[in-house]
Amino acid sequence: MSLSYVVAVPLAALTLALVMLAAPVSRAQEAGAAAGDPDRGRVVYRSVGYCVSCHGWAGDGKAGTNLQEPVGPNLRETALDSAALVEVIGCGRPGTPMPYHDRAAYRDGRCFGMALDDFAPGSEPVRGKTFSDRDVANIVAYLEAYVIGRGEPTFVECTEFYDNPSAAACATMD
Amino acid sequence: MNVKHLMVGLAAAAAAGSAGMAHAEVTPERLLAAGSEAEAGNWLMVGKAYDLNRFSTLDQINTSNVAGLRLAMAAPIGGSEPAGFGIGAMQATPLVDNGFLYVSDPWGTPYKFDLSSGDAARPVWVCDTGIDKDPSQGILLANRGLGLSGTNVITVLPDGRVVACDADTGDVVWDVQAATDVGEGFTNSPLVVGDKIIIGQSYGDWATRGWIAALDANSGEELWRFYTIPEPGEPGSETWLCDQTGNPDCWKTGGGAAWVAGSYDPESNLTFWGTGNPVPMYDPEYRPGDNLYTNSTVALNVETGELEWYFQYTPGDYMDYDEVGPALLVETVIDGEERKVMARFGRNGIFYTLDRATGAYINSVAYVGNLNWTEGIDPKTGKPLEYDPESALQTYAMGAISRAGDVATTCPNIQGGTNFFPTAYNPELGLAYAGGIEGCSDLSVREVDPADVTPGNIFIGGAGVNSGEQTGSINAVDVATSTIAATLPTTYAMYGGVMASADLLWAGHMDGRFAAYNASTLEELWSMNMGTSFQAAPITFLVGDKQYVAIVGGGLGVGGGLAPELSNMQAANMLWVFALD
Repeated sequence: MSLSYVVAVPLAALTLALVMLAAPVSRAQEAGAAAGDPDRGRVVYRSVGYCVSCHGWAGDGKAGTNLQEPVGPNLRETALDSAALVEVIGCGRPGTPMPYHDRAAYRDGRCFGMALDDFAPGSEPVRGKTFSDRDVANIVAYLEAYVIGRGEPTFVECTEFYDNPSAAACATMD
Repeated sequence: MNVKHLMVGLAAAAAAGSAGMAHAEVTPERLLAAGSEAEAGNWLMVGKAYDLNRFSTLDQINTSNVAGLRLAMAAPIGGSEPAGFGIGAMQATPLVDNGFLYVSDPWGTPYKFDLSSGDAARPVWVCDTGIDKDPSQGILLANRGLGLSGTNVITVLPDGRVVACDADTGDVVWDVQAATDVGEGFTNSPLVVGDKIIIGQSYGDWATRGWIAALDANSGEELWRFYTIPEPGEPGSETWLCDQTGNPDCWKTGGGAAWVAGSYDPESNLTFWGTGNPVPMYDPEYRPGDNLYTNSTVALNVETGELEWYFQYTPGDYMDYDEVGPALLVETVIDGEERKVMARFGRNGIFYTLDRATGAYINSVAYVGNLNWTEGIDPKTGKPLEYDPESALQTYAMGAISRAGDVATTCPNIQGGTNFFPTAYNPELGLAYAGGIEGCSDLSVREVDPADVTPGNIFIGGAGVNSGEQTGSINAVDVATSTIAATLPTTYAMYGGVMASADLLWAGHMDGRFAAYNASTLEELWSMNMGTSFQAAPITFLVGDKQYVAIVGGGLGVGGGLAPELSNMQAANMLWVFALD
């Protein structure tokens, strides 16, 4: 499997993007190349990270989001490939509320060759829950198997997501 | 000894255990007298008395000796299971009657503790409401306290039920599904008045329509209901220009939730409730107009539920400035005239005094350090100077936000100023107190198709994000003159309540510090960091003849978003009780 990827650029940080483009290929991306377990990925998306808060249970930024942050991009319609997903989950999107989850993000250069100190005070990337490399791969596998390109979410998808046929969150769905 | 004699003996022992005081029924008469000397040792309702002044005359603990305060009792409380918005913060004001303390957790479950020993908070019962703690529910968990009614302890639940528990046994006496529409529920506390329990639907931002209702205290049967958003044809409906949007039903999901219990004036038999923001909070193009009766105080006749008067603070709001915060009932002298006023700290950063009988505006003063959304308040109408009654969409001083992409920064923060936070009034000093937030928010609109709006799912129509650093303050306002008497800046946003006792003011901080201040100067006289985030109001009471102070602490909840540096604080729900040696 190829280890060379195009580095995805956070659109909100154009200045930063110039630095990123010059950065070496990250180790986080390499780790993500391993095939993940989509069912474990769903558990991580639901219960380990705070993904639902911004992206909603269905990844569309609707049901399940909360008041704390702006709603996240619609992952059901994302154009990101596996490598880009690994990078965004691991390194976050500096300049946006998308947090980083890689245990060594911004410590050993794996994220755009940058450290937290390289960012202006107040503009550092947001720290999220720490995922193992395997769990990053698991979430990517989950998104690719159950979310990306899947159209409008369904009641069955909702009950499967919450692993509960009578989950309250699904009660208002058609 | 036969069984009957044994039971009598046990009852006598129990009575002796509570310092010889009888476990009396909480009658309507006792509730009317909750602020009197006869009930000075108790705390019978969340606001201490119907005026919500949260003022105690107990003065064993005072400025001269509070430095010697120590932790006397502590007990864990349950309810830290998360819902979709995470673990709820502990926001309940405990109640105390004759040495027994009643408090609720964020899921509304009531607990009773026996404090009569003075050295341990012994659990007596946990009332099992049967609440379904389904973590998929996309709701904000909170419960702001219980009500005492006769021999019952009343709780309101996030699933829309109201439950009466027997005060002696903790058994469920009655259980009614008071809120029946999808998305409706309760986060506040009930207000017990006479033979009625007054409740407020709390989940406005979940695309519902707010209401306030009275239940029969003996059965839970609904007696009247007042919708905070009028339906077409009713007075006030002309302020919902839904037809202009192509969605004539926009009022049905218009919010205006009543998520903090109101005050009550026995003389006029009026209850004063605050209402929440119009929904969606950031997209006025979804619901053009002034949006009555959102962001208002409504004065309702307790017997009939009829609207006596209303005052809307921020018409056509797009800053999320709910005005649910407590309406303090105060008697004061303004310009040489004795006045009965309703005084309150607005979430919009302004302290208002209104005439209690008519709702007429009297005076106001900005109490936050940075307020940019209005140039000031019209001294005749009490409305913001920018308010244009002819306009479908208001533009306040910091500029409009729009679907076309206009963004703005509003100060104070969308969460206030103050918020649901319990406030207090010391009648001896003439000072009203509140803790609050000092900061600003960046606002933007995100258009949502009406077809995608589903009651029960959060519906905000945009974003309000912290703009720069958020700190806090405690303010003391002289109600008679509408002037700031003292301000204490705080490191973190204040996200809980205050309590006034004799010459002290008490407040818990988000970082776990609980503190006592000089009531006149706000100089800190004592503090102790308990490690649990404080978002509730303290109380003070007697066990026997000794004064205690209690407060509950727990997780950060939504308030934690104002202090990211505290995010590692864990949630452990606790009751803390303090005393002098």
